[in-house]
Amino acid sequence: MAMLRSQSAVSPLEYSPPMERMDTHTRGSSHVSAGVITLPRLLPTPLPAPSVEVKLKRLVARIQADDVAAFDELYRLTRADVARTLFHLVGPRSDLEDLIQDTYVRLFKAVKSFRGESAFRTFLYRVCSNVALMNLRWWRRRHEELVEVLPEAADEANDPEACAQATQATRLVHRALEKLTAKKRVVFVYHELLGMGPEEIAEVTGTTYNTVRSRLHHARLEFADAMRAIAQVEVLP
Amino acid sequence: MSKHDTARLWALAADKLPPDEAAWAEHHVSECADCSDVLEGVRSARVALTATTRSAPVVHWERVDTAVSAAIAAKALKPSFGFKLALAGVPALVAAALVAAVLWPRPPAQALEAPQGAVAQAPQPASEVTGVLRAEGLLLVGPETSVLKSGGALAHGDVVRTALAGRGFLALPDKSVVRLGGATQVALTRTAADDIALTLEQGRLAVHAAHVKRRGFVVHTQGLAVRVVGTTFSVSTTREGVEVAVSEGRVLVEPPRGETMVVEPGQRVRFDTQKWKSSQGPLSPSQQQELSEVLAVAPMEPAATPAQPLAGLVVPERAAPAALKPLRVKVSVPAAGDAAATPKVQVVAAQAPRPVLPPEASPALPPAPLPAAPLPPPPPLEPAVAQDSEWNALPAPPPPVDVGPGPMVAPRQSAVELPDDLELLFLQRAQRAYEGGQCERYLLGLEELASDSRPNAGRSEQARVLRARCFDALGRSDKAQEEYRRYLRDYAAGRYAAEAARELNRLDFDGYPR
Repeated sequence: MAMLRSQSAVSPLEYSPPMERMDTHTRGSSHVSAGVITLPRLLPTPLPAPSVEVKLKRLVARIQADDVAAFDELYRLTRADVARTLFHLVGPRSDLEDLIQDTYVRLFKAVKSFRGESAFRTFLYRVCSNVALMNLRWWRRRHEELVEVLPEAADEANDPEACAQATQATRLVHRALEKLTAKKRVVFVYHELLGMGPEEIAEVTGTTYNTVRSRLHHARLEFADAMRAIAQVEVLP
Repeated sequence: MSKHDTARLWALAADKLPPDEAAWAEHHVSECADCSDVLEGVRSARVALTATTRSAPVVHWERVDTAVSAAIAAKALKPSFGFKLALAGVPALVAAALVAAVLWPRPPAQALEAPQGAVAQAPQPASEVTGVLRAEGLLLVGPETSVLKSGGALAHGDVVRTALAGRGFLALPDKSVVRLGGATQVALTRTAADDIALTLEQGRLAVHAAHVKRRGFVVHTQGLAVRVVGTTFSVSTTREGVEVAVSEGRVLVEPPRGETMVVEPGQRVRFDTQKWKSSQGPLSPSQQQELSEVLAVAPMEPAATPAQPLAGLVVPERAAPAALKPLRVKVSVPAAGDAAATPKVQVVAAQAPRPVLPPEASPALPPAPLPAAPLPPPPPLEPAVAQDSEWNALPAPPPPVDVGPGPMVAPRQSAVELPDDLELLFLQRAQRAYEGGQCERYLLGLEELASDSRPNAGRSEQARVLRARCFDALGRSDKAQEEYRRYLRDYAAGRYAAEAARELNRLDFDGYPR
């Protein structure tokens, strides 16, 4: 253990599984030195229910054949998801409904070019992130503080106490998210709040897996610091 | 802190580490104060994030649905850039086709043999054609769904559907008018001049049934049959049940189980199609608006023909329409075995039917007349319809076009021509209602028109000021002030600005309406 510390000079939380406590070891066909620690692999996005994805793709095919009614159906199927995604990406905004509308107008124009190479949800989330990024940059340029009252978050459990706690937690989380840059915020929200995997986030944001990991790492640090700071402010009279 | 540590702490807090890693990390954290603090912060953050994951924003979906649907419908109807490019090339293509037709060698003329098995399709008689009066996001559903436009024609068997915020007005062969609400799908099951059957598959429709002799007029939905006898009514269907509202006349509702019900003017009856219970209530504002709109579009009827009872049905006599008295309707449904399932029968006072204004009716308050130009004077009334002076006569429909023995399948033609300016009609009727002191039911429609930001020859401006006057006449000075302020904000140099300023001054000073 001392040899490891002198060689790598890393923090104490470095983990060496028992089988790897050697100066060198072989994994597969490559040699891995003791200074390299295997990172916990971020979990990929859970696969959506196949019937939902198939249905969405069928609707997209109909939309591409100029079936406007199919877009109505697609809108009904996805609107709650889009609303929740935008809500977390941009925070409580009075223009959230405008952003939802903007998202679907963009989706209507962009769906013609959807070729089905990825899941439709990935495509939808990409549109959401584009709308959110534009909006976040717009707000940031104006240095406007978040002074709006958080709209009451609807809790499906209908439990008043749980609802109040969720509202309070949501308020704190959104305030902490305000401290992140737009790109980090998107990655953090998609991973931590929407449960997306890094590969899908990379596809949505048009970046690479490593870029996603890097942004996520920094976002987590900043988010944790922000939450701590907010909690201290909340406690102090 | 390194990337590795952060990732492990977050994974540990989320219980996503493999067991052996988790055990090691827990052991280390127990011995390291710094990491312990960090882990505690991460765990608090995770708790908050988990709670946030379950929350969702409160969205006014009606507003969003309307806005999205309108935006998409506008984009769908607008020809795309590619289409415009193609269109630009059409003249060249036509010229090329003409040249090819002239120069292409033709085969020698031969007698054409009639194709075997071909069945000659009789052309659709003009008396069975349904006209599309107005189409907003209206589609013809079929193997190839197409967008319908105002002036189009439909045949029996056609299925039409509206977009989320779409609307459609259809003129049936018997001169009845049907209004389709948003997200509505209707099949024209039978559309003959004396026999109409519609199937409401989803959504809502309002009908103004003409007072003509016919074999029947029925709307089917979810097993119910709504039969009409010269009425203005609406039917809407949802997963929970069916709702029937009547503005004029009456309808007979035949549930698959239970007795036939009679729904009178001003009544709204809801049928729970799961439990087959019914409940009653007054018309809702949205239903009043729908029924107003379909009435506004309905053609003026010639000398009213007394409604003929349907064969085989006994229609009880009704009292004079001017009397306002409560109605009691009994509905019996099969007992569900549960006392709580017994339907309640409510006694609901019927609203006063639509008043018939005598020609010499004088309004209680002298109205400020609208200045020149915007509203043309109504056409002179024919003597036979003087009793119903509220409605304007619409131009008579052109005679049906004789298609003749031309092609095997006759092309569809427009059966009815009506003016496009429905807003003008609506404004005229609202003005008259205001003069008669009965403008309240036009308020919703006036707001919709006033809020329309599209260029519409000043209709929005007129609607706003008429709304203000109506509120003033109804004694709602606060709403009148609000409308006048909105008018001055939107039309500071408008033609009614002086009136708005004057009325605001008066209302502010007095605090009371005149």
